[in-house]
Amino acid sequence: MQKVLGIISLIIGLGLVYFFNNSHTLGEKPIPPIGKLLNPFTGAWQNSEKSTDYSDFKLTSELIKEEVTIVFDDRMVPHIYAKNLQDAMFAQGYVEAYHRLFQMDLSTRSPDGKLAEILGPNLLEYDKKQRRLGLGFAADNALKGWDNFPEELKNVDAYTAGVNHFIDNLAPKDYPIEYKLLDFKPSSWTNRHSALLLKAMTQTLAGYENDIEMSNALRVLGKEDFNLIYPDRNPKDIPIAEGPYNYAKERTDSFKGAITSLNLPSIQRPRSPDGIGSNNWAVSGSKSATGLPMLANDPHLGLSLPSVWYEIAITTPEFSAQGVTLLGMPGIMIGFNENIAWGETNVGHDVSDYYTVKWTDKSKTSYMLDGQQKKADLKIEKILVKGEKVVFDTVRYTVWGPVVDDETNLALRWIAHDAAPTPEFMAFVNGMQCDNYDDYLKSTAAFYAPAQNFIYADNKNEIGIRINGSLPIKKYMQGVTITDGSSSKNGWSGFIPRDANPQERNPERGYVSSANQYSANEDYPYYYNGNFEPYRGRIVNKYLADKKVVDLTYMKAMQNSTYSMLAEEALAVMLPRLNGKVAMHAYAKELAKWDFHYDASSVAAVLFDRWFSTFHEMLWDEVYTQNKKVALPEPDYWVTVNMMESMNTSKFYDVASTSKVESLDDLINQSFRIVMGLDRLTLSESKDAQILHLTRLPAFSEMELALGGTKYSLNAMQQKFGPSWRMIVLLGKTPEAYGTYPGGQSGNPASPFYKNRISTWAKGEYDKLVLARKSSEISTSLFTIHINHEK
Amino acid sequence: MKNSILFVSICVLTVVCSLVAPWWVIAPISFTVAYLGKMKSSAGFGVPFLSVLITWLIAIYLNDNGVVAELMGKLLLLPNWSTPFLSACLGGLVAGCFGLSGALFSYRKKTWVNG
Repeated sequence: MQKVLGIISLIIGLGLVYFFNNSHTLGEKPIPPIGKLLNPFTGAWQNSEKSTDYSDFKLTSELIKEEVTIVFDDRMVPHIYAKNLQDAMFAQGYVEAYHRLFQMDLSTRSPDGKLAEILGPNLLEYDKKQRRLGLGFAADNALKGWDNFPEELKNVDAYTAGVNHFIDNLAPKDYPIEYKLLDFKPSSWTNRHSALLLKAMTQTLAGYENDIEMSNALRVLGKEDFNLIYPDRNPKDIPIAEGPYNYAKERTDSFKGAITSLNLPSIQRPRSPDGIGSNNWAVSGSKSATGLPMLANDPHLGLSLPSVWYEIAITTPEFSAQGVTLLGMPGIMIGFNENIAWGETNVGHDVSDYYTVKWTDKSKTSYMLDGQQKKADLKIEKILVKGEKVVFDTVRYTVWGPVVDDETNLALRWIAHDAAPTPEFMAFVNGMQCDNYDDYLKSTAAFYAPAQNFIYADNKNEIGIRINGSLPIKKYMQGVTITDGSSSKNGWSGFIPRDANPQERNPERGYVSSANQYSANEDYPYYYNGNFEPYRGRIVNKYLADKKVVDLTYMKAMQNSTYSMLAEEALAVMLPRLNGKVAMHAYAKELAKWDFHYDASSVAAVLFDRWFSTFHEMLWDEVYTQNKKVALPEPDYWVTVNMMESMNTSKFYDVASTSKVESLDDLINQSFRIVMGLDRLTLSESKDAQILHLTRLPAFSEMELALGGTKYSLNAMQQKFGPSWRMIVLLGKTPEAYGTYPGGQSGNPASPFYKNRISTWAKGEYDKLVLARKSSEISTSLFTIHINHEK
Repeated sequence: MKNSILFVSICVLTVVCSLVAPWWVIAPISFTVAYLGKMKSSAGFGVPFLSVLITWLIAIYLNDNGVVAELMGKLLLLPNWSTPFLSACLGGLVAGCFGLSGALFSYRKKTWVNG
């Protein structure tokens, strides 16, 4: 009897150990291995980080040539002091892994289609889509290109070695908390991971795609209405580079390879770039309070915890630079050194085109090109799925690129797949060491994709901006719609020469700027299309043109401005057209006294958003009702504004579903009546801004932030997208710099440095960034890491 | 007296072995101590349970200043103060089952404790 009870007890015990030691799913809810997670010796309790925990330590590596010192200042920013560049890159890899290992792991698994392996079957479709888009293939291609530059590649090798030095010496009890929760181990870092990260950025920033929807629109609406609803460009826009341009205008023939006869459904691609955008500007000494240039940059991205950016300072005998870096890539992306400052915004040209594929038979192994059969390259993708069987998928590569989905059979010609002639990372590794514009232009010429507006200013009174990136040469309207893939003549005809890329250097007006608007005006010799921002660029230009002398306070106010030009222009037409009782309504009065600023407490901002979007949908009911049957692109807001400003009558003002023929006034009044029936809400109540942890677990996230801003204001804070780093640099004998970002240096949710910077950022305030040429110049430090050469 | 020695033995072995072995090392420890110590079956569950519970609680409080407790509370949708206890109970439960089993198997066996 005793033995039987003993066995029963043993079985129960073994069952508990098994249950507590493994992940499970209860219904849809994942249950972590709670024994691993909650035991005090190797579980989450070991991740507790107190401000008293920091103490100096030493490590050795045979890959380090000379001694490296890393001092963490009171904001936990690492200041790396190395005797040579490669040792500095080793240290950069080490500190990034030290603070953000899980983030680096996850953000490179995403493009590689390896999320289901750690997160389970819910991510399988995502993984499949990423592999169909050929992001892993793109990273492999990038590596092949990098191999041609063995000397430069040593910097990436050193970075990789630094990351791996951290991973190799990491005890399971010290794994970041997310590994314990998701029950997996960090794997070795390779140069390919850095390439994957670059491809993930290309996907976020240059993955915009609406060829299918535009083809449908052209077919359904006809050319005349298409041109009215989806015009090529906004006549009010002020382009980044106003010319004169290098190269004479070529005759641009219309493109003959467009296909609009197919009715295809939209293809949902991961990581929608909607909401992405950025500002940067630099003023010259002639316009600046200091007499020397000032530079500002604030990239807007999906906000996350840990933050997308990591602040870092790197000093060697040759240079001393500080700024932010994307985790997983050597060098400083946005920053400054003793002499210069630099930054980027996204360009937005269409570098992603769909081509039709005509298979020869059902096996989909050969397709027709130029009247001949051509074999597709079949790549078998093996996808691991946590807790389930391995899944295989076949991706078919054509001369254009991979076929992205089985239903539409469209192949994707995408800049991300091209091997760059020079390694992209050189733009950052070399760029941070420059002390003049010519060198900086040379360094950043290495950058191919995602194309960026690189802005520059220095203490010799030079300012400049140039697009660095591969911009395909296209015929008029090429790639706006789906392209006929049966003829190789329909491909891109090469790339715009780099010196013809839109650029400005020391323009007379005393400033350069970009905010994702059109790159150049119609005199520009090459045709381009894409996704361009209609208001922020104009606001930056207005602010800078209006002010004679720009100072630090003004630069800060600009970055934090919630002013909406869209609201001002739209209300100028809409408010006077309200009539009778409607015009006397409390909401109308609220809007009439509004200053067009999207403050967190603004009620008018919410009223306007609701009114304008309702009006917009009533106006384009022809598009929105069709949208249920055929996928069409949404018309842009600026098109609506320009239309009501310039057209008093139009067939589009009529709402098709009513028997009455509506006028512009009818639409404006009817849409306002709908808003009158809605609750009064402040912007922060309506927006519910949040910064989610990469796993989206609310426990690790910052919820319910009360923040102002709109997509169309310089402070482009939306619900989950917004200014991910704000930097202002005043150049001088020594630079005076300020920066802030919504997060913290540490990726550990249990660290005091996990989200300590959010409140400063949310208030529109900045931390002072002090470039310390020597470690003794750092006033307060938390701890120091000494790395020595191991013999 | 015997139970106190066994209690302390489990505490010490838990701390020492957990530094090198996975968390479930408390299972063989509890079983072996109960078996070799010829623990009475009435104490077979309670002594290892309390022993591991207390050891784990102390270890948790030595590591955490409340930040992880709060994170785990939010994660598991439980009050923050309860998560260290929940963790310790989880260890205690496993130890208890194996201890009881060890005690039951050791029935009528002579032990090294009282010869």
